[in-house]
Amino acid sequence: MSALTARLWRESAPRLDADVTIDAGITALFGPSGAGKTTLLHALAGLVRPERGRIERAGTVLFDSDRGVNEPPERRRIGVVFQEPRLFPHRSVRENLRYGAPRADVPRDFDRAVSLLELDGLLERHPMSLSGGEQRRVAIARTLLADPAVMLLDEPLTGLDGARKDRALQLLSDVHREFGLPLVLVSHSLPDILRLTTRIVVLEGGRTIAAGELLDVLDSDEVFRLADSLGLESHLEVEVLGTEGGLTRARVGETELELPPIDVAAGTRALVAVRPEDVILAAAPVLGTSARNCLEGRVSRVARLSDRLLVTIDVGGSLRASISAKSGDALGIREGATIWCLVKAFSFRWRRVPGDGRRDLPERAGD
Amino acid sequence: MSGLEREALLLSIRVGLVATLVILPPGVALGWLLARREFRLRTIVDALLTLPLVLPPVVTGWILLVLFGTQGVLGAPLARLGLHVAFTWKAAALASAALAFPLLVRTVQVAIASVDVRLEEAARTLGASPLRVFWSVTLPLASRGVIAGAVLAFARSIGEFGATISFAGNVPGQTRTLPLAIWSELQVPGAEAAAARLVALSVALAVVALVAAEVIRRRGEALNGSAR
Repeated sequence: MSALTARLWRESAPRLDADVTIDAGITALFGPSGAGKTTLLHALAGLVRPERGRIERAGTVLFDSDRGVNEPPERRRIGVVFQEPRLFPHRSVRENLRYGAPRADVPRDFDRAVSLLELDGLLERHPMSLSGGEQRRVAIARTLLADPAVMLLDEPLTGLDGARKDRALQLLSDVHREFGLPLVLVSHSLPDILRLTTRIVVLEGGRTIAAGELLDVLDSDEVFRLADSLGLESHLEVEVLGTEGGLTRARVGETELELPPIDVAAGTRALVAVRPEDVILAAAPVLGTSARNCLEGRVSRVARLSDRLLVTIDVGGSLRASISAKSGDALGIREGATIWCLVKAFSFRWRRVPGDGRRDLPERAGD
Repeated sequence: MSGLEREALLLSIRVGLVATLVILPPGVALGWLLARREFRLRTIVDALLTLPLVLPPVVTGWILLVLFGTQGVLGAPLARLGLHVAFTWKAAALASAALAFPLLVRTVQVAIASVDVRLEEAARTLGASPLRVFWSVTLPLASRGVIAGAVLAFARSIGEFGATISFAGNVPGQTRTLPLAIWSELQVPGAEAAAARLVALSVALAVVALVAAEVIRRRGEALNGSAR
């Protein structure tokens, strides 16, 4: 059963035309800034009222405009970790954590959340004396302890980089696994999201334009139209063959790729990504270049974006290339044509690799 | 301190405290309403709240007398219940309350408007009812402003003259508060010294009130945490 389903409309600003289904795993809400991600989150939590629609949480109707149902936020059991921590400045960390669970009947959860989010030494401190990262962790623990059925997190990775981002991703994954809680993650950065989940809902202008598994979502017409403005990379699902000479070989369909080295067993299936600008198209196979990959493929789609062409090539997976309109004309690019794609091994980035601890984060409890 | 002086001082304190405590709950409620809710009668409420600030206090006193006099719209039924308001200390307290109310409401309104709504939203999503949000988040964070409003109301009460003399009269031991006592002494030739002693008492009372407010505020902050 779905953890949460919603079909929402709002004509007045902020606009909404959303259709979301959230299952027990981690779902990412993705879109450019201003796409209405936060608005949708607030509508689910009951802080923004849609004009029409319906929200159902595991069989319980939370909102139904036809039947006049509109449960207030405090009765929805939808936890929200806002973009800013929103801790109560007049209460200690411990009191903040207790706020959502005033009854002392969940000491076990309290201790669990405190140790999971590494708050042991901070309980008697005041929120304003904590660092930004500590405040975020307190906010997550406070939401957890209010015993939500679903937890929504608004841009939990913004402003983090490198090791701190890795740690935050690990924490979110642990929270999901430890508490068996469906998570909805808002983000504008696809690479970040992919380390936690491949289940994606894409939003634009308050409208959900695609939802589902990453590769299907990226291939949908609506997302294709947006791909350029979002700076979306192409993602290929590959099977690792082995590593030699400082490069890892992998297969996508019938095609073999040479990729940056990674230490995983042969047979591992993983995702790699490449930016459309990093793909060179050629009308014939090209030899004698430093690019390690020359992939034969068929042009499956051509979109003209002002003076540039966004070309989708089927090489056993969908690869996108962004080229100038002039090159496109010179090469005679058209749908159905056979074409060769030159890609340097190091233009590929590993995105989601089972068995590689840093990148692979389990996506659901019990996985 | 002569008996009359002590009487005037204690009466002023009683009138000020009663007036402030009586208007505190409705004042905080109305301040919250004005800061957080849109409603249709808002313009009228705003106008009514401004009225005592712009009318001469004597006029406010006269309106109270018309309402609460023994023949008044509200005074007559109260009199039948045996409750006489006009020309008693209750009238002095009521006059002070009427004039202090707008000051309290406006101060509370500003204090509550400055509390971050996003904290209240967060509290709601954590399972708190609107009432609990008010008690646990809004009021503590607005407490400084609420205390300031109460001090203003008390100060306005002990300084009240015009409305008191027209609604409560100038009855020694009954309605003769410090300002009325000072005014009475000034009517008597050669009583400047007595007036000066009352003036000194007034100043002392004001200082004590301000110090008390500061102490309450610090206590509150110690309870609510010092990181504000």
